[in-house]
Amino acid sequence: MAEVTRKIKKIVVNRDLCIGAACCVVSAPSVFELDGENKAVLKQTGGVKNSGPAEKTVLEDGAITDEALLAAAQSCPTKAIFLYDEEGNQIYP
Amino acid sequence: MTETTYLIIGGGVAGTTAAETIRQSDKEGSIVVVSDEPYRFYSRIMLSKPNFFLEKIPFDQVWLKSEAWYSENKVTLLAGKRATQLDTQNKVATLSDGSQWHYQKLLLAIGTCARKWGVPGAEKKGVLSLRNLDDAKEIISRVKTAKQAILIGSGFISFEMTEMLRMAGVAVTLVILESYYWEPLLDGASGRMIEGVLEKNGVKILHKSEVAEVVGGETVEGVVLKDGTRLPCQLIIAGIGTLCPHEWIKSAGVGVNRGILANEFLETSTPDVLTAGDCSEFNDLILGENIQLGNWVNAQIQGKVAGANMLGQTQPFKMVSFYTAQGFGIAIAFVGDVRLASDREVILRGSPQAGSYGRLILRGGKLMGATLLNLTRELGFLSKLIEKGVDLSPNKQNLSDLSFDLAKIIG
Repeated sequence: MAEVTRKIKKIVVNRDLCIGAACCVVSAPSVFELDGENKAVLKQTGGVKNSGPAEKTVLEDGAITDEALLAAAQSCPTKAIFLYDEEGNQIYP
Repeated sequence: MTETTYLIIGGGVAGTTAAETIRQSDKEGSIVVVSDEPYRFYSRIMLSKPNFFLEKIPFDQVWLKSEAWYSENKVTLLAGKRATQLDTQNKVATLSDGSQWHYQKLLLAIGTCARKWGVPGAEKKGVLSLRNLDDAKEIISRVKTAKQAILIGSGFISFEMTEMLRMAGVAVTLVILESYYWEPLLDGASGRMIEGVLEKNGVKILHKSEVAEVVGGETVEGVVLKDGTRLPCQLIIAGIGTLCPHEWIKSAGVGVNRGILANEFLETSTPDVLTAGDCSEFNDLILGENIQLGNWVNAQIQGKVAGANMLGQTQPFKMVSFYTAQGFGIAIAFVGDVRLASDREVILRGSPQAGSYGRLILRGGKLMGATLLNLTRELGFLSKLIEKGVDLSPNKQNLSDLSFDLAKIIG
């Protein structure tokens, strides 16, 4: 499933699509959590939490692999997590 | 008779995730997925979301696997077919088209069924429940012309459908048996907090009320309540829970209670027969008892665990379950075991006046579960406290105070 051929540079949660099912939170708890509106946010350095866009390098969990990020995005039942490569091309969905 | 290595009954999130998990490790073994719906894997969880109903989310967003995924992964999908008979001695399942499949490993991921609403007239057109894509399609088409709708039951489905109907400009009356919304899972204060936002948005709530009869011709035109009140409506959605007959599974000798019984490895009482998702009544390692959940994430992770165990692994399923819903500007979340038993102690966190109100449910100083209104940001911490079995006794007096940071306890 999680085969990443292009490097992930940027992550965005589309808040209009997010329904708070929290599959991403279960899949990658070091990166995602739900905010007060039941929407997924990205945990970033300096205590910043928002739905992005956020560069992978600012994630609080600096060690998270591209495979783990892709698996989290793929687990979303509304395909609300968007991943982009270094050229700005959409990797997923 | 056709041979297959892996036979999966159920094409929803549990069954499809199991198939996907198996294929990652076993590139050759044949995988057959049987679905009683005429569709490939879709997002059942999206069906109750207002933005989907009102077509603000494109309909095609509902499909979670492309047709090509099945062929690329050599997963045979038998759509629109049901399993009707099971012979566990000879490892043969018979489907509704009469075909017979001999399996090595069988997964029962059949989901659950909407409880039948046994009121006279309930068979009329426009009286619906919401369980599958066809139900959703019919609600979408009826919402376009309905002026008044009646919702039965106080739970997640009613709550989400209410928001959708109000957004569509339909007048909504909620008919509930209870004296407040979500009784007894929530306390009165939480229930009233939810009812407050519903009423502010024009929803009429009739407590301790029951429909005696659905009236109309071929299509619903209204209801008569037990107290004689007549209400006109063009649409009724009954969200009154789930219940499944499991006759074909029971008669095969597989242990069944309300759900299909399983241990923590999701193995049933019968060798080489596993179960996952809403239909499984599994040994919950965190609660120490058998429970059945109706929840997307739970089904997804169980599909993964069952798939791994069908490959011969021995992975236990261990997860703190949670549900979330949001609408009318209120965020609702349940985590862990929120049932109130006599040995439970309830600590209130925040207050309805403060706009954030939670109930932490403890047993012997340890957190068992919580109900949260506008406090979802604490869901992650609370899950961890439940999972780790942290003794909260030293912090008990602080827990009511919203400014007390739960993260401090975890360290």
